Amino acid sequence: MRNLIKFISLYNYSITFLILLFVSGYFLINENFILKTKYFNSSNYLSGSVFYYQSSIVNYFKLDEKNINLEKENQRLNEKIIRSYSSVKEDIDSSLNLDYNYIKAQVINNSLRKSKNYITINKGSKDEIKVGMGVISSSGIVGKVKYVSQNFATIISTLNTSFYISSIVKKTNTLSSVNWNGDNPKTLKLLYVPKHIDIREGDEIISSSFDSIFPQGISIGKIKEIRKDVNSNFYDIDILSTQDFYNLSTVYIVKYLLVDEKVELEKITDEK
Amino acid sequence: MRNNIFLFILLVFLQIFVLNKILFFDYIIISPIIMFLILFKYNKDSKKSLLIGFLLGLLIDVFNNSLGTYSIICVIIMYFRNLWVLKVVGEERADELKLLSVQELGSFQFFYYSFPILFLFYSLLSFLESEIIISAENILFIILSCFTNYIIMLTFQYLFLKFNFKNEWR
Repeated sequence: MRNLIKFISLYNYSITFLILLFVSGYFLINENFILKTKYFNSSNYLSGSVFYYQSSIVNYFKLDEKNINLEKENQRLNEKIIRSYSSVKEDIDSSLNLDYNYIKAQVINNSLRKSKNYITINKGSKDEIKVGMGVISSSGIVGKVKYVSQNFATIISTLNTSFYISSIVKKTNTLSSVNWNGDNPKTLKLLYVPKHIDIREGDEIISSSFDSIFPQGISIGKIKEIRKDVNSNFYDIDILSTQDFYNLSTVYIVKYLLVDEKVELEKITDEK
Repeated sequence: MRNNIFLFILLVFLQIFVLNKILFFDYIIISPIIMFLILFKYNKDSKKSLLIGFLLGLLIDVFNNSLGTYSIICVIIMYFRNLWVLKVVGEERADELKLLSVQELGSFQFFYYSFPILFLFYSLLSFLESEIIISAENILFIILSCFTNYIIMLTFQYLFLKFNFKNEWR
């Protein structure tokens, strides 16, 4: 025992270093660390409030940009209404989307330069935000809710290498996945499109509703480049994201009203 | 002393709210906290310096949604720096210095002392944030960020710290 105490007092500096290294390493590796949900991210009360005041100041200087974006969104919605009068299919699609509710929120913090980027919004559990809900903006998909506190929530952004979106090539209805490889924030990867499918550059990629996170038809991007890898059965496809993460300010949290019913039914089917 | 605390708060504020979000010319990240880690007074086997490094990293992590990244970097940098400064200036002189600044060490010795620390800081940051060990882009990022931060660090010291020393001599 005496030797142990002597050893600790002799090497207390190195032991402190190793303990701190271990604690930091534990934080880094264990993403689901329980405390992280409550204290150690920007959805906590202190940092969330600070970012809230910061964004309210920054947003004031972005009003011009916001107006232009709103005009574009208006134009897009007007075109959609006009198209829906003449297209029966569009009517069916829009009626399906009635199963979703949208909660508006403001982005108060947004990271772009890491391989795992997160966004913080000013809505939390008191606004009925729950973990796993989808997040979209007027230009397309933004991400998925990861942590929620009472007043704030952090979102795992599309620009996060561990986030996959269930998608469809609009022209051919081919089911696929979209992921970011950590390089250019404007370019995403379209995965699992078999080589026999006829796709072209410029084809639109939209969300599928299979994952019960996003409604079908939300824009993700357009095909930018198609490459054929000899060793793979699938194309190597780059898509140009429709979402501009540099100017993200207003987002909508997607609340799928029938999610419990769907999950329950799929669970029963799997069990049988 | 009060001036130094004010400068420290200013550096942390700049890091969290401004510089954390900006990538200059696609390759350069400016991190004022590395300046604090480099300049911080040396004490032999100081657990306080390790703890301060850890808490500073944790503070940046909380605001940056990068739990563990900055805290592990700051702890490693503090440990490495405490060993490195002994190699560069020797134990006796390191104990005497109030700050490990360019005014106290001289231009050449400060470069020799600070540049490896900057290099280690940005190598760790590049590895932990991008999860890629070696790539041409990462190497360019490390080199450009090291040089830019070194120049900023020198400018900062000549602008602000010289002023403090004049006061202390009075």
